[in-house]
Amino acid sequence: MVSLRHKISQWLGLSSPEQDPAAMETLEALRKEFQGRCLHFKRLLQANGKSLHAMAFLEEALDGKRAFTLQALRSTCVDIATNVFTMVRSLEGMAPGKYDTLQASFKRIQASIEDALRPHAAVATGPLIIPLHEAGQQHALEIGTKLATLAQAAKAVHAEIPRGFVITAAAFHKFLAHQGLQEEINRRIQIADASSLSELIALSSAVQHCIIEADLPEEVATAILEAYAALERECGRPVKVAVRSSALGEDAHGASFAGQYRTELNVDRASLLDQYKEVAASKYGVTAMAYRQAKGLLDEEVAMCVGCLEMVDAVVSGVAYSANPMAPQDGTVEIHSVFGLPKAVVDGQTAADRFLLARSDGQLLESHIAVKTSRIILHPEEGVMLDEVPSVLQEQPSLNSAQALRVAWLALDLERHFGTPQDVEWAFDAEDRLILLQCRPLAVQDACAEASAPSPADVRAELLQEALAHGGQTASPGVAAGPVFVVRQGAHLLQFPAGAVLVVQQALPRWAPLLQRAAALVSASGSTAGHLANVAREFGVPAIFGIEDAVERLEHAGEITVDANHRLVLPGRREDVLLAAPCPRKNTLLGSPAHRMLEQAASLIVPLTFLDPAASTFHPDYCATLHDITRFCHEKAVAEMFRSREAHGEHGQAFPIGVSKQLTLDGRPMQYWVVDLDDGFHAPVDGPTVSLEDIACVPMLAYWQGLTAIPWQGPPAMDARGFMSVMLEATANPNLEPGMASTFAQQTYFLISRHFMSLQSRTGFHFCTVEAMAGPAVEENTLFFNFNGGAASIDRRESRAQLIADLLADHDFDVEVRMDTLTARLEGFDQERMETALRLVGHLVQHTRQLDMVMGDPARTAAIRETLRRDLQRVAAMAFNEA
Amino acid sequence: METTRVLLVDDEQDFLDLMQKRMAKRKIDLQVASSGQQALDMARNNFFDVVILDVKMPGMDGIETLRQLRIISPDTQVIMLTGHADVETAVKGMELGAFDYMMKPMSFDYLLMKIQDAHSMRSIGGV
Repeated sequence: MVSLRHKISQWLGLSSPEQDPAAMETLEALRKEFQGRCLHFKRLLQANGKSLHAMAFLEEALDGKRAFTLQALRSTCVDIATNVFTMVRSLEGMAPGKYDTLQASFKRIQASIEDALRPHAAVATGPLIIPLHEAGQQHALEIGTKLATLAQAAKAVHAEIPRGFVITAAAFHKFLAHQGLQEEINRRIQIADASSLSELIALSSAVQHCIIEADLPEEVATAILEAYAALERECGRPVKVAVRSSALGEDAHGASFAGQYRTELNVDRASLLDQYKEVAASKYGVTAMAYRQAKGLLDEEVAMCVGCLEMVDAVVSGVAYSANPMAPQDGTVEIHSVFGLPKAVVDGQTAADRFLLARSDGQLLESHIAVKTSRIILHPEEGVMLDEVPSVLQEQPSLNSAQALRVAWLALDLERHFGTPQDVEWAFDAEDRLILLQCRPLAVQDACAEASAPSPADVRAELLQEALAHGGQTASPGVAAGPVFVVRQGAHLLQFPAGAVLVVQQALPRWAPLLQRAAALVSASGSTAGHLANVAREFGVPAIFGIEDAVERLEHAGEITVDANHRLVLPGRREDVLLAAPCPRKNTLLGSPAHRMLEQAASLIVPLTFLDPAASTFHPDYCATLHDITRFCHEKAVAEMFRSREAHGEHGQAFPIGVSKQLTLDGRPMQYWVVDLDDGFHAPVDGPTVSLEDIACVPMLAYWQGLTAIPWQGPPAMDARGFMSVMLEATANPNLEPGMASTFAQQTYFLISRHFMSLQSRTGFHFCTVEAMAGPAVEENTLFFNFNGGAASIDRRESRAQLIADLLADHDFDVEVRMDTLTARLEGFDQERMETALRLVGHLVQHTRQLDMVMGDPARTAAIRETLRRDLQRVAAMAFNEA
Repeated sequence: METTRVLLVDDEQDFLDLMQKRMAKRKIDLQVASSGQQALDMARNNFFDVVILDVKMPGMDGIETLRQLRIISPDTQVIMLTGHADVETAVKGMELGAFDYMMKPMSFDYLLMKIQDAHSMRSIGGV
């Protein structure tokens, strides 16, 4: 293809093109080609902005500064891949055939990203049903950790467990593969991209509905009913079962999944299949989904195995901890017990008795007997019911000392076998048989909590004077402050503000999704052995349970400080108390499977290895990341836009004649050139110049306004060392001879359309790029400002870059300084706000010229900083047309 | 600019209805097709500037529809639309010449802008 410049020369060879139709045609073709190049360029820059924006998201998520969901990670990667591909293709459009190998580099990196994002869930094969007495730890991948552990416990420590069977992960996968159910679920999750709790609730309900309404594959249904019949034969009588979740992957990664899934009690044959589907669907319960998001667990890796266990008609039951979860070294076993089924303890609904026994000899150290007005018992037909405890029993211990000892031994046996402290759910039946219902590793506090152990008694006494409320038990240690928010019903969930202190009457598991956003938790009732306490400990949310009148006392207290270590609630935000317990909130995402996936994908996307465009490795073959590709495309696209510069020489016009127009102000030509990419002028402009009044480009006008708002006072007077610094640099860099300063003084190009501007500028000794989109589409709006160079020594240039960065950071820019290069970004604000930002940048570009020369003098630097700061505020406050 | 002829292909009737209603408000003549096959039939008889194509559809999927559409009507710009965030499919679509790839849920204004962009790209005869 004949080069554009060549064509222009052809045209220039003619004296008057209007008289020559062939020349007119060439001119038209040229115009068209240039227009095409401009469109590609504009699109490339937009795609560049978007991909960098998305990369910033990955970076923040990577550093733990921002929570992310797996869906957000995947769609962000797709976003980046399509935008980078668009850049590659646009560059191809600007210079066909010139950068062919770029596609291959893109494909290579993209394939690795796909690999990184692929879930590595084992495809479950094997039987659909496994009887519990045949199972053991080795079946964890088929029946889930919870039930495999239970089966193992029965074998290893001869604990009695309920008879029953497990509907395996293979059955679950068969169910979800049936009639495309899984695909439909994934699609709904992706579309919803639920980041708020209200969205998550809607999504969860829709997905669960989908599962419950779906048909079970014939084969699975038959297997379940056959297993049920076999269980009845084994028991020699009709039985009812507890249908319990045992999710695969639920206990891995230090995640306890306390109470996240559903358990259906006392289920008969007629409703078994429906209950199976409901428990299976609870994989997508709100609590479980919120929990997986917070913990960075992968949906794909969680399969719901479901146990059907003979129902135990418990007389007394509860939970035991083989060690104190708040202080694992204190040598105690803790037992919480109630009359009836243990549901009351784990759901945190009723008060429970609490016994502390010595780990060494089982001696009863403490017993706290609660008033137990109600209990949960089996309904004669199906399910469970709340029942009043006979008044003579209400204040009696629910366990006798012999029973307490048996429970303690069981807990310690399990700890010995599994090697870590255990959280054990147990029951005594009418024949006084002790039955193990569940056991799992206990979430114990780490060293951090111990370090902030209660301070001396006098400190506590002093704080007690001021306390709004106190007492109860520490459900999770730590100190935090925030405004009170009382949650009484599910609807309040939606209004819960992030950073508030959650205050509730009962410690119900359904409040668990709020803990991710709550500063602290205070509950009037509930057991520290319950699910909610477990989750609070896991997330490191300070919590006090059992301050009986907490709701009444705190409801209108506004901002409070919760000191869970001392079991105190103080008015206001008490920095002294907060500082005394410096236990940082756990970031539960770091190190999670989702975070690892993010790390892998991000390592192929975010790092920039292409730093020097002059290097021989600045070549498509050496692109290691998608960021490198964007950098390469950007560099080359700019070169393509300016490609006739080579032919014209360094000081020549960068664009074909008639395409770039010199800007005039009141008829005087300025050292600025303007290229209209699309619709940047109010009306077509003939001739070699364009007046400012003809410019319709919103970002350019705003930038110009900033540039000219406050007259520049000329270069600052240099100190002797500043001058030396410039001289030294000049001898090292032949391009920077002081004598050339005038020719280099200004060479600025604006490439514009109505709402878009790309500015390449050389002002004094420094180089800057400003790219901006400022229009009605808020999500498209971006401002990118890159600034480097200078004539003084590197340390002075660095201080100048840092100075500009600081000033821009005050105005909400994201800034980064690397050596003497400043990068500043601002995104997603409305047009007016973008215009303000452009004015600020314009002002800074104009007024920081040659500032590097005086950066050696701290006093002057401080004075200049102050002047700039004040002027920027003036510039920011300017209304349009006020220039 | 002359009117932009837009065809939306999606198997979800609710989505089609909603989009048609919203586009009508913005005075855009939106035609709809509920399957890949139907879209191809329509593209054979009428020219569309921009086709918005759902990736996952029963029967002929979006990628195959795109492949055939590029043959029937090479000048039409295609925007892929999907509920599945999958890098491989996205890049595949782009390689086959799709103008862009958008993920549901997207803002309606953003989609309109994409349609405009796609249309301007068509006018210079490139992707």
